[in-house]
Parts: sequence; structure tokens; C-alpha cells
Amino acid sequence: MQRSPRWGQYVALAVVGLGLALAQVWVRLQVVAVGYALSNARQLVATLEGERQALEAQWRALTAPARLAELATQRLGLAAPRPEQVVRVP
Amino acid sequence: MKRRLLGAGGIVGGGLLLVLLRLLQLIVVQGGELARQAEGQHQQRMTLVPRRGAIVDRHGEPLALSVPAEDLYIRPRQAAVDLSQHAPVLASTLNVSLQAVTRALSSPAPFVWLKRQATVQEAAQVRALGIPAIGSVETQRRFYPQGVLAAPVLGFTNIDAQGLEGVERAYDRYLRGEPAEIVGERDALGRTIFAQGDEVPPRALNVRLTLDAGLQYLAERELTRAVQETGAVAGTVIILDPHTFAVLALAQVPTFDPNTPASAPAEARRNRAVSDCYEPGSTLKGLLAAAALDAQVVRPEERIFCELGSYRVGRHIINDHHGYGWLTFAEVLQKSSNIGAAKVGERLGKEAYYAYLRAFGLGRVTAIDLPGEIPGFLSSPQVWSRINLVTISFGQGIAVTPLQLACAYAALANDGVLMRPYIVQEVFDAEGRVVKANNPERLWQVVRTDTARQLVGLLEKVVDQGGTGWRARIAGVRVAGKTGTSQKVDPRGGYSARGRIASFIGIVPADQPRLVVLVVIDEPKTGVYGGEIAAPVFHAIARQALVHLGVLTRPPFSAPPPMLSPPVLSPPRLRPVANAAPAASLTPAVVGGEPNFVGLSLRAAMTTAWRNGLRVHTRGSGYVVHQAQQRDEETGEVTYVLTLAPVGEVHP
Repeated sequence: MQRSPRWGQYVALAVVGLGLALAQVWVRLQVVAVGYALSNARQLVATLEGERQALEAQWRALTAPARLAELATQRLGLAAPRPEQVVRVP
Repeated sequence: MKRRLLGAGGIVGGGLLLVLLRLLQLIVVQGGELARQAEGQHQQRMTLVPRRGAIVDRHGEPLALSVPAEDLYIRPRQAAVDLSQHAPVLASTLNVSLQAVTRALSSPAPFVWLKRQATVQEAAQVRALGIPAIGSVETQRRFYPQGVLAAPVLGFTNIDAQGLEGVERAYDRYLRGEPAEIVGERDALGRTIFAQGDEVPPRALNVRLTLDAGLQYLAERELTRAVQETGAVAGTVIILDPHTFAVLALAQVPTFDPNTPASAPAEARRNRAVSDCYEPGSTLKGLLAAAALDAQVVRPEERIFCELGSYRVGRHIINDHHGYGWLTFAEVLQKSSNIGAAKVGERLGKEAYYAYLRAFGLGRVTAIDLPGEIPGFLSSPQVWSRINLVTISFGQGIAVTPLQLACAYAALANDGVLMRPYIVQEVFDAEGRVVKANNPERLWQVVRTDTARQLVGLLEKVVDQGGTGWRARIAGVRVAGKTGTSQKVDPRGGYSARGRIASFIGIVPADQPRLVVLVVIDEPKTGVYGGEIAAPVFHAIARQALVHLGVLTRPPFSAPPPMLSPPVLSPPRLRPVANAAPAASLTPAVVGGEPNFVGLSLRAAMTTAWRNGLRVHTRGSGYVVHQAQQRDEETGEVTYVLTLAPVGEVHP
């Protein structure tokens, strides 16, 4: 039996349509997967940024002049330099 | 066969037709409603609250920051088990009282805060404990890394990050920022798949102050020391740039830690420089003198009889601390004679004097960008009696804020031009772009330029030997200033029997003003006079401030001739190195026309280089063991590269 060319076209069209539908589903899944990854990455950025700010705040507190002066005078026994001891390098 | 195929095709086609019709129904007929329902199920609107902006000093040093935190809560009813057993470990982890935790865990309420603004580490530790019914909400915590530094200027925020005092309040709308709303898709578990927009919270704006953290620190340190040593109840220091009226430092005692504002009393949190006023006493004579000179009712060399220390005005008697006879007007200022000032005030007249005082900014707010400023007290000249004019001439019967007085003297240092003081330099975004800038704002000319300069010259004599402010002198720098001693007003009426305010206000360097420094010491116990109590504080602050700013770069003693008298050296116990002269040959320290640093300590080498204007670059620490020259090909400048090593680590 000889197959009608019209049926072949229909089948081809259906296959193409099915392929497009599967591609659409695949793309959608990819979008969702990338969306998850993006969301996680942004969350990580926010968390790390928060940690960085917290550490910077801690560092600033530890290097505050008042704290350093207290450590220098009370723990290390240092004293403020006399005017003639201050040398400004040219 | 064909019939079968047609039959099968008809069935399939009919099915497809049904599907197509259903699709049409879903898309066309019910499409709008279903789309809305789907959106409600899959999409969520999220409000992102920006983290509060930072406050930094003029050099970018952070003074206030916001850091991530978590509000921890518990839903006691949701827990099926007895939670009280977890109270000790929660209390120690969160650093809160056991009593408070126990109360929260056994609360009948459906929702109880366990700890607000817990650190991220604390929250993580609590989560690791695995206690049921405990949850958290992300939030932020305001943190002031420098502790008490500039606390009354910075102010503080409440637990919801709203500014309540100081710059935090005045610039709250910039620091708080605008919340952003984003729409995101979520899955069945409520997780965000992706959002339409930036998921990272928007950043609020930051504020750059005019304060210099270095100057602020030294002002606070010296003021705290002075208040402790004199047994005073309070003190204030203001440092202004007289050319811009930018506030470089604003210190006060008592103060508070803005990280824990609730633990300090209200009087410690109040910004005394703008919210408190006091009688300026003799510091007002500087303004009287400027007014009198400008109105040409007196000349500096003009002699005034000071009544030998006692002057009757109606039924009142005005006294001087010492009985003076004839003094020139310059000497009236130098010795701070009340009687001399009273006579000049009478000569100037109340209308003119009042107009000058108003022009100097007294009796009105300075409009600085800080909350809580008061205008002080300056009554209308219509109600002044003769005695009022006389007493206001030497600073009694008038009240000023410390900032008003500092601005008035800054106007004198600024060739007679008054400007608006400001404490915020600019508001900038996360990328550093300036959103709002506070530029210096000229108000008006108070006195003529030559009058202002003449007066600064007269104020230099106050700091000379024989003047009341001699303790404010700084070797190597010209200083102009005025002392002030005033009685405190008794709340029950009249003046307090013992309460005094000692003050000093100075301009440095007097010939090229860079700073105006006001020191006010409230109720000192070891003395009462401004020259005795406040002038030494001015000296300590101004000297260090000038070194900090690079104005005072050389020591206040004459430098020795170059390289012939090296600085005092402790003989270095070094073994000679291959290319170095032995220590014994250090005098003179010039070998073959080249300066020789070898054998000198780091300090001695630096001092030698400094005194001789030589550029040096050092490596290591200890004593110089090797020196080499580097010449910049473009500028031709020579830099001596000195290698140092500790004693005992020198290798031949």
C-alpha cells in the first residue's frame, strides 16, 4: 500500500509540534532550575555581604582609637609621645 | 482498512476537537480569572527593607553601621514538650537573664520575643540546639564601632532602626532609605524561584560628617581628663573650621554609649553644645571689643580708668578681681577688667551693642543641622536698664549656647564674616555619588575685616605673659583667645553661691586661623577661673590638633645645624657591618659629603632626616645597618632607603 503524502506531512507536523512542546517544557524546567540557582546565589551574596559588614564593624570596633589607647596604656604600659618625640616624615 | 482509518481518525479528531474546545473555554472564557488565581498561588510580593546607611567621619572612618541581626521568637503553644529544660542553655547562648528566658518559655501567649536583634552567630547557635517552636526574623542592628566617640552628635536609633537623636534623627529620611517591593515566583514549598527585580535589599544613603575622628578623639580624651582632674560636673569642647564653619569636633562630658543608650541618663544623651546655654562671662568681652572697635567708640591704645577695682552703677557695685587704675583698652581685654568693659559698653550704647550681639548670632539659633538647638537668651534692649547694659558688657545677664559663642569667634577669625555652622558634609549613595552636599553658607559681615583682624591681634595679648590666658600659649604658634569665668544661675533665683563655669575660647594660629576651639568646664572644684581651668585644656587640645592637621610640623625648639649635631643617641650595641661606618665614627655624621644614618635608631634616623629635610624610606626595625640612595628620575628627588635590624641580628 502506498502511503499518502498528506499523512506523512501530518505525522511530520505532529512530531515537530511534539518536539516544540518538549522543548518548551525543557526550557521551562531550565528556567526554574536557573531561577533556583540564581535565588540561592543572591541569598549567598546577601549573607556574605552581611557577614562582611559584621566583620568590618567588628574590625572597626577593635581598632577604635579609644580601645587601642586603653590597651597601649594599661596592658603595654605605653604613653602618648611628647611633642619633641613626634616626627613627621617628609 | 480505509474505513477503519477514517473511524480512528474521526475518534482522534473528535477527541482533539473536545480538547480544543476545552482549551478555548479555559483560555478565552475563564482565562482572566484563572490567570489571577494562578498568579496568587505562584507569585508573591516581597517588601525589601534597606539596611540603614552608614555615618562616617570626614575621612570615611565609620562611626555608625548597620549589621545583620535576627529577632528570635518562640511559639510556646506549638511546642508539644516542656521547654523549661532549655532555659539555661538559651540564657547563656543569648546572653540574657535566665529569668527572662524562663518567663518566655512558659508564657501562655501564642508568640513571645526571645531576643530582639540577636547576632547572626547567636541565632545560628540557637538553631543548632534544635529546640522546637523557635523561629527567627531577619532584621538589622545599629552598631557604633567607636563606642562613645561623638555619641551626642551621632544620636541613636530605636529597635526598629528609626533615628531618635542627633544626626540619626536629623538625617533619618536619608539613612533609612526607601523600601523596595519585588514580585517573585514561588514553588509549592514557598521557595522563591526567581524574582522580577533585584532580590538584594536596596541600599540606603550614607552620611559623611564634617567631624574628624582624630580631633574628636583627642578633644574627648583631654576633656574627660580635665573634668576628672578638676572634679567638674560637666564639660564641652567645640572645634570649628573658621573658614567654613564646619564642626571638626564636638565633645562633651558626661556622654553615653549609643550602643546602649537606655543605660545612660537623659542629661548624658543631650547635646550640650546646642541644647544647653550658660552665661558666657568674660568671653563675651571679645565680642564687646569687636563691636566697640567697629563702631569706633574706642581705640586699642585709649586709656580707661578702672576705678581701682570698684565701680558704682546706681545702687549696684561692679568689682574687678584686681584693683586697676588706668588701663589701655587693649589691657582691659588682656586683664579682663569688668569695669573697663562696663565703661566701653556704656559708651557703645544698648541699641548698638544689642545689634552687634544679634549680628554675631546670639539670641537666635545657628540653624546647624542637628536637632534640639535652642536660641539662648538675649533680651530686647528696650527692657535693658543701665545695670543690664553694664553686666551684659562682661557677659552676665545673657545666655549663649557653646556653639553660638564658637561661631561668633569663628566670625572674628573669618575676617568678620558669620557663616552657618554644619555637621554633615554630604549624603552619598552606595557607589559614592553625592546626593546632597552641604556647602559653606555665608550669612553676613558682622564687623569690618580690619576690625576683626585688629581684634584677633588684641586677643593675642590675652595669651601673652601678663594676660589671663597665658596658660593657653603654644610654643611656635601664635594664639589668640579669651578667658571666661561666670557664675551659674541658681534655679531658685539669683546666682549660685559656688557654681562657676570656667571657659576659654581661642583662635589658632592667630595669623592664619585654622581652628577655633572652645572649652567650657562646668563647676570645677580645683579652681574657678577660665585661665586656670580651661586654658590648659585648650592648650593640650589645640597643640595636638595642630600637629594632627600638619600645621605644627616642627618641634618648638630651634633645629641644630644640618648633620653636625646628631640627635641624642644611645650608643648602639652593633657589630660593624661590611659597608657601614663603625658606630664610633658617627660624629660628625657626614661621611664623604653624604649623610650617614648607619648605627642610628629608627627614631634618631627619622629625627635627623626630618630636621635636615631628607626623604627616607625604612625597612625593618631596630638600628640602621645599611643605607642606599634612590633618585626619582622625573623629579630628581633623592630618597634614602634605610635597612634596619634589631640589635643582635646584624650579620657582617
